[in-house]
Amino acid sequence: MPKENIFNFLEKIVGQGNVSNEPSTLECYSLDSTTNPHSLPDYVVLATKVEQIQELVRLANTKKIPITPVVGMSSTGGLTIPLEKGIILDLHKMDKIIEINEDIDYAIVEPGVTIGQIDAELKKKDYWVSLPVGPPGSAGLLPGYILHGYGHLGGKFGINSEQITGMEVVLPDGELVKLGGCAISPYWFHRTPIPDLTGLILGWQGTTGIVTKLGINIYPRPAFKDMVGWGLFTNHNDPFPESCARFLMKVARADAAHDISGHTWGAVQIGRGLKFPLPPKPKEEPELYFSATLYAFTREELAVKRKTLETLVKEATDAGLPIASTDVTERVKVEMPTKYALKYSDHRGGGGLDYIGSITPIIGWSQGIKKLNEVFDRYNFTPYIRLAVYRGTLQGMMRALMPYNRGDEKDVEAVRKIAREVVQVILACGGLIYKAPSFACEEMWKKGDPNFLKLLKQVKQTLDPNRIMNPGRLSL
Amino acid sequence: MALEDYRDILNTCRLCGNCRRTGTTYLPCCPAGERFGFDQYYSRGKAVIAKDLLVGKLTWSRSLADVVYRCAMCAACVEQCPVDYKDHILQVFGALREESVERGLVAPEVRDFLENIYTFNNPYGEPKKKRGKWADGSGIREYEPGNEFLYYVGCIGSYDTRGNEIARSVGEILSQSGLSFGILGSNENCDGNEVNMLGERGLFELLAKKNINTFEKLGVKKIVTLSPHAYNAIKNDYPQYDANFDVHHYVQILREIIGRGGIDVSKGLDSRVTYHDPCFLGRYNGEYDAPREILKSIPGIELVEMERNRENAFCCGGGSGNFYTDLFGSIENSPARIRIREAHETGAEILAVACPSCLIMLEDALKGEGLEENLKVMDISEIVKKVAG
Repeated sequence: MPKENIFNFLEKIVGQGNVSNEPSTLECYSLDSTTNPHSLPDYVVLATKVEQIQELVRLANTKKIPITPVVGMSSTGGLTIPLEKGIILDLHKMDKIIEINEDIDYAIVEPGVTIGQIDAELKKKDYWVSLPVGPPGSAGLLPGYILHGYGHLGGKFGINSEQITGMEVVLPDGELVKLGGCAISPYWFHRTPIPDLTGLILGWQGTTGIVTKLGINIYPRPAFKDMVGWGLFTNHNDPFPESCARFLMKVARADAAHDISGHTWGAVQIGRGLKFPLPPKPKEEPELYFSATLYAFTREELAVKRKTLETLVKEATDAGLPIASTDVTERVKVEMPTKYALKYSDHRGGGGLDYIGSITPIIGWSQGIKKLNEVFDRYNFTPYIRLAVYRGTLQGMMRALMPYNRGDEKDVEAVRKIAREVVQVILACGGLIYKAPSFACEEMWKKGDPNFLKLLKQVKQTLDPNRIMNPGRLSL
Repeated sequence: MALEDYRDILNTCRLCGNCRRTGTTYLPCCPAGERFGFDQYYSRGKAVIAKDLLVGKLTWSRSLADVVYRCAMCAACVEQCPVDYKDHILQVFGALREESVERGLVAPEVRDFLENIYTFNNPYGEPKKKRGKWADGSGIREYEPGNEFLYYVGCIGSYDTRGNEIARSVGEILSQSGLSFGILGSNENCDGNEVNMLGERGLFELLAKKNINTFEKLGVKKIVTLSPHAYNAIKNDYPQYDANFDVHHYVQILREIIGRGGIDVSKGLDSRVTYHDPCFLGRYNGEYDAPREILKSIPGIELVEMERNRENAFCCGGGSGNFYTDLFGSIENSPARIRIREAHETGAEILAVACPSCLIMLEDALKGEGLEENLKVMDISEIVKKVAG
């Protein structure tokens, strides 16, 4: 079909001025801050209504044109880059907070609602949600939830996707469906106890449908906050020995903190704005900084939580573990959402940021952090590793971040190699890649249950037989 | 600096998208982004465009130049940028515009604007001798050596009917206060702020040097401007041509006058008022307090803030010559109409402004929104004049 006809069809659906295939438009939607290769779409479409999205998907299906939904495009996973061209569906204008229900404690948001926007609105009512860590306040909330992202309250509430209560989705055939309890009840209060089909969307990287509304848990916002910090005074070659992993498991089991986070020494320096190369680490500074963020509704509750953690830290020190109390670093003190996190892309002077994240058992972090340090050292990059414990089983985020210079081809090549090696390290520790780029998915599927991969493909084939939804992702 | 000089700097844009939203209320902050929607209209997108032009992924075209010019240069993106790139954003925009000018790719509206200024010394294409006509019958006199201030009016104040009204109200208030000042009348030339913003550096230099020469010949030491645009140009951009003047926007002088009792505002005004921060007074020059202090000094005024205020104020879209070229148009999601709706939501009866460009943009938008019965746009000087005893 001639291109101008597709353009006309698209304009008929979303209105004049909301479709572009200008070269300058296409270039802007072909990349992100990562080293993932650029790929131009054929069209960019601004949608503002669910009915438009349905018509667009039906058109894409009829004409077999790929369609990739995007919001803020601050993703550091390459997921908004259209691997097989087609239509970029820009949803950032769909930014309504549809409902905040204070009787049942949930909110319903459109895809364009940003992290900062929902936080500002909930703050007025003394509520909050777990906000994706790292992205700026202008980033979309929804992607960070449906991709199983990490939130700043993950120690208390678990992974972000666990906070989802329901969703409305446009399926690859253009049908609109509600998933979760909202499919039956007028309230969006939970995904259960009916069969939970949100699993057909969560973690699928936009390859099985487009979420047009998301229901999320909201929580009363505690008035009191404190932080407890400790450092691991280990060495670079074995930064997180098993004894320290078991200590961290004790901290997690104490169930006192909303967030338990760790950073390598290098990560903390980058957060302070230091440029590459860093000076040698002073002996008196730890290899790893940890902090627990405590929230409470009363000062007494806060005091108990603080005492619990301080006691654990002291016990560890007294037992001869290389753990001692430290000041909490500036990096973790900042209130969410924060612009602070973006500073690290200046580290090598060039605005690029790539990363490989994972969810890995804490017991696997010992080997993992050691090997990740080796990878970074081999390529002469500052080891930037970030850790966070999730509520639930003893696991959490182990993430390698690679600030790099976008204008330096050698940096770009190095980061691509680092990313591949990081994936191998994580998989060797029993971890799983979060927001996995295609090459990482391939590695995971190689190791996985073949029947699991078979089922993934069957589901994808059933829902999206024409392969229009963000094709190329998940290596299916 | 040429665009090529920013080759490495362009890599420092993190592509994070923070240039889309304010940092506190997380409401949209970019007027061009709100109006046109696509990423290239935000700072991030322009960084991509600039880089792609340098590496040959994009070539210059009229449509690309249109993107470059659909920006009010309001600096909201600079305010929100969290990384070092913020120090270069406006310079990159300027370099893109300079190249557009050199390649003859500017939109006809921009071309006409620049040609009129070159030929007639104002964007309206009106004769120079009309420039001082606004002051006829007002008692406001031409500058004489010995006057403390030169009252620099600018093109909108000199030629636009509504602008004339504000020029007079500021002049009359200053006269009433006993301030020693004079105007240039038909000897006044365009300050060139918009010319500079539009990338016509050669013409800007011409205008600046001409004005500096005029001011120096008259022995001018202090200047008070009607418009924040002129304030910005004379204060910040003329010094590169060895200008050395003590420059103020009129609200700064008026605050001081009211503070020492030079104008009696005790008559008061019972009204709910909200204030729109002009970009060239606020973000460009950090002046957020003087207008508010003036309003608060008037008994009866209840000052209410829009959600996007001070450094997060949402631009009316008039900057960079747009009050004349109208590249944003006046449809429902044009910046000025968005801003009027925001003002209306405060419940205010008066939307106070301190910029003739903002005033014209917002008054037009008020009509577009059909809110003339609910809200009035007034210059700060008009409010003070209303209550001045």
